[in-house]
Amino acid sequence: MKATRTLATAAALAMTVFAGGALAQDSASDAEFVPENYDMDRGKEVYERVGVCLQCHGWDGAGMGRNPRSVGTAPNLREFPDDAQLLHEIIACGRPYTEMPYHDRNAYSDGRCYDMTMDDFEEGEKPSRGKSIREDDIDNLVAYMLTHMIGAGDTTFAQCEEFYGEGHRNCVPLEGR
Amino acid sequence: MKTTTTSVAALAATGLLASALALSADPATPERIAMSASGDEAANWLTVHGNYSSHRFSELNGITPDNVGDLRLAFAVPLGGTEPSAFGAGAMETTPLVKDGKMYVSDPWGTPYKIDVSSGKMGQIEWICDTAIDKDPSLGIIVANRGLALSGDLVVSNLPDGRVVACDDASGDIVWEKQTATEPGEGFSGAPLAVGDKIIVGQSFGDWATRGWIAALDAATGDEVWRFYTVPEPGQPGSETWLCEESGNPDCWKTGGAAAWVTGSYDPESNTLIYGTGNPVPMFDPEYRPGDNLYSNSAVALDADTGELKWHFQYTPGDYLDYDEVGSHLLIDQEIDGEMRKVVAHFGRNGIFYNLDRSNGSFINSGQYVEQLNWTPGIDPKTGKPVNYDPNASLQAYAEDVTMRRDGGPIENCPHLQGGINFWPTAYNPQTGQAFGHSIEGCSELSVVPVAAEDVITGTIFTGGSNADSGEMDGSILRVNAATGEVDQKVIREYPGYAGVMLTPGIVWVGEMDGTFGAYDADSLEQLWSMNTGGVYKAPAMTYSVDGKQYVAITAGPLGLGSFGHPEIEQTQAANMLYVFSL
Repeated sequence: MKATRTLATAAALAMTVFAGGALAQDSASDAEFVPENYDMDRGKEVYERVGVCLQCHGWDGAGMGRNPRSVGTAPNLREFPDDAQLLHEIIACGRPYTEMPYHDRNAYSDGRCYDMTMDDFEEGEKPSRGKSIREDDIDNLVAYMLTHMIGAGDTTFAQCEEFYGEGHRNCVPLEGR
Repeated sequence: MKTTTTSVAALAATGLLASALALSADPATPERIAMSASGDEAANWLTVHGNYSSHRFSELNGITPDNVGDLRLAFAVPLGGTEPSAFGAGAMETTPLVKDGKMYVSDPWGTPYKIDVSSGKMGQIEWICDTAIDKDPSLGIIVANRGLALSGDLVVSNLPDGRVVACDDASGDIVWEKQTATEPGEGFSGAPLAVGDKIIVGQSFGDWATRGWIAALDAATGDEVWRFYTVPEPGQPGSETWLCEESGNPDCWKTGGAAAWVTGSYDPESNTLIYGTGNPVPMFDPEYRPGDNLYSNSAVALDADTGELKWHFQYTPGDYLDYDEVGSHLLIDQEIDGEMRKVVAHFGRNGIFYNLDRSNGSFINSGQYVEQLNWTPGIDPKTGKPVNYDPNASLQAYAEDVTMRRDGGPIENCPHLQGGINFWPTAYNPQTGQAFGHSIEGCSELSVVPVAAEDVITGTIFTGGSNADSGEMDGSILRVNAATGEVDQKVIREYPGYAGVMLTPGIVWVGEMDGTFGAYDADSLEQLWSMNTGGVYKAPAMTYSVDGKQYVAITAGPLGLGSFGHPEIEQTQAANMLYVFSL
């Protein structure tokens, strides 16, 4: 029963999210977000080590990285909308009622995310906090994701070697792809 | 010139001295290991499960139910290995070994430490055998290491990167190292087992779309002597239980899992190894791999010299709830129904305690040990299989509404997918005939998320579904009459069991996820003593003595993922620690 209610709430919220404009941020909210203007090497580092996004989304964003001891299923970011503002918002605010954590340390202290604070959530349904990512680094991360994941199609061997380095054993199973 | 000569002579003398010291340390001979934690070797803990029968019971009785209230922390030692993989900081799941006042302990990356504990006042690290493992934070593996093996003058570790490394007991130098596991995704978590002139290792990472195996290495060289695949290839006995053609993917067995995550037991009398095996892969989607999927979720008995399969017993055929059975298999000689039997006893992750005949694997009896169990209406008293098991079906359906199918909805299964009792050790007191366990009490919510065969990449996690906890999980410390399989004492605890148990006469020792380490009365299971040290206990305790004084040791580390509905412990930080207690 609880699961059903949670899913319904999440769906409602997701609609709000996709309608856009829930978050007022300066940088990524510009209509023109040019990834090349940001530090993509740093973005990769944030994906890998700061936010540890690959724990759930996989190194390639395919959503196959999830820890078997963790909960939830991460979406395939390679099929995600090409929308810098939406990405920035979800990284900062998380997606309440799902396993996606927020990465802005103050996301739910002053209403900056969805006009909500922690008190607006019932016990047991409060958003979970991920690793903190600084504002500039969220932009770097968004730039990296837009360039290397969003719309990138099926994962390839070349992409793997670009991520891990040439000859890395993690890429062996992808040979020929 | 003269100076040089003198220096060389001095060095030679030093070398001789070092050799003499090394010789003075008594090696871990097969005879000594066979006596571990009892008799002449009662002061020592020479193999990961305490003894070859996996009893984790020590005869040491300096600490008693009457005086344990005076127990205090004698000393602590910080350990390394907190570097995370992509799945976070690795768990401390290791059992320290002790030989003649020296402790041997591994960190989550499998790095061995030798610590002098002979003073009883501090733990002095003598050496760290740095294996140069690449602590790559992007590696999508679960970092965990459950202990080391002593073999003669060697300290042997198997690593998450698939290598087996033997370090010199005296110097910590690497004597040999082998890349035993070579396929993408393969690696080790369970401690190696020293048996005679061999080192037994089990490939652990089945859920990364690999095929499980158990292998024996020559202890002197590391060369592989034999290997037993826990998933047979087409044409071999057991391959008929992988109906891969029905799934449209004839190669489904190649990523079939059945991994050996945990060290097995050894019966010297029959020269037989008894190991538990892991779940079929993908864990939640049986339609990817129709059939019973031998030898997943089984006890397998192997000839220690050849690796030949003597018998097997499969607990949950064609599983879809991740009820793998890698945990301890207790070797017990006991009277059942008026007859002395040589038994293998096992707390199943599926919530059932089993007794099997050690000579042929036949089922003797069973009992439910968890509070909630809905995945089967019961166990067939003749066969030991779930009552609705159909040997002719390619997909099992053990209970209505608790069966995983691609076109079915989410289900709630009890016990939780992690158990019951998962990989963490159980224990047996041969003086009382009682078996003890540390269990999760609760349920989980599972659903199938099918993955097409062409999208499965070996070395990448492959579960075929998703899972969530059903709210806040409890735990329990429990005792079973080993002869009947019936629970005869149990206490419910706030936190799920994840660390396992150790026994000394009259006392059960248990660490918990909130950092509580406690001693419990073996009769009443009442807590006699406890201390909270802050870290998360996911490892069992062990005990040893030096100069006649008894010590109890245990390691603590980070939570990692999975607080089982207890958000208050999620902020626990990664600090790998060894704690040693004494009166």
